[in-house]
Amino acid sequence: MIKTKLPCWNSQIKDNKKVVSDYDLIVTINTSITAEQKWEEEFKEQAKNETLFNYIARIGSSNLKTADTSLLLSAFKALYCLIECEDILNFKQFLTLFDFSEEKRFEKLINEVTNIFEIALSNSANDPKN
Amino acid sequence: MGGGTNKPPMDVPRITTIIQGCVKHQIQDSIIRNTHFNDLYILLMRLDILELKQAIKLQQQKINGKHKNNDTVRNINAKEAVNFLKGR
Repeated sequence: MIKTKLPCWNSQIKDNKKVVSDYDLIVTINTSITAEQKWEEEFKEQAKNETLFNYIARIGSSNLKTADTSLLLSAFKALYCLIECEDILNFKQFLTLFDFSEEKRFEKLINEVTNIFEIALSNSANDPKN
Repeated sequence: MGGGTNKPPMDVPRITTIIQGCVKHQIQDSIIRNTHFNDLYILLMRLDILELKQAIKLQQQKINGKHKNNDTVRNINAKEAVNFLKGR
């Protein structure tokens, strides 16, 4: 299992100003069968068509920085299945860790997501396309 | 009971089929937990293919064995059996 840091942030209003505080969430990248199990349990419609890793291989070629909302949401669904962390309770709560209006922070997050996807695929001895 | 419904058969989740394969091929729990999903999937497919190849090989050997001896097996009725035993 590989550990990595996911850049997170939360925003709050203090003295009529928006204050953003950054922190890193330490997560473990899980590429075992339990990741696929999570994919099938949580996202049945997507799982019907392909495995988690086939899905990641497919969307990995897209530029997530310029992706539309539906592709981004799908990427975060895949990310949610790939990572393990005690602080992440469910998918809805996972999405609340990020404020998508913060452009620079969001770009940093997308870079890390792309990195995690690359690690998840390169960890296998086999190419999913084969 | 009323008439049957026309619901399509339930799809077996992929994960259930994989776990079934792991049980069938007696794959250890530590391997299941620590192997990449893609590698485990391919391992199961290769084991299934190997099993099929062995079954085909066995079947071929049975067929070849029959042709070698030129023996054929057929059913006979009671009268034929009695005649055979009496040496007719």
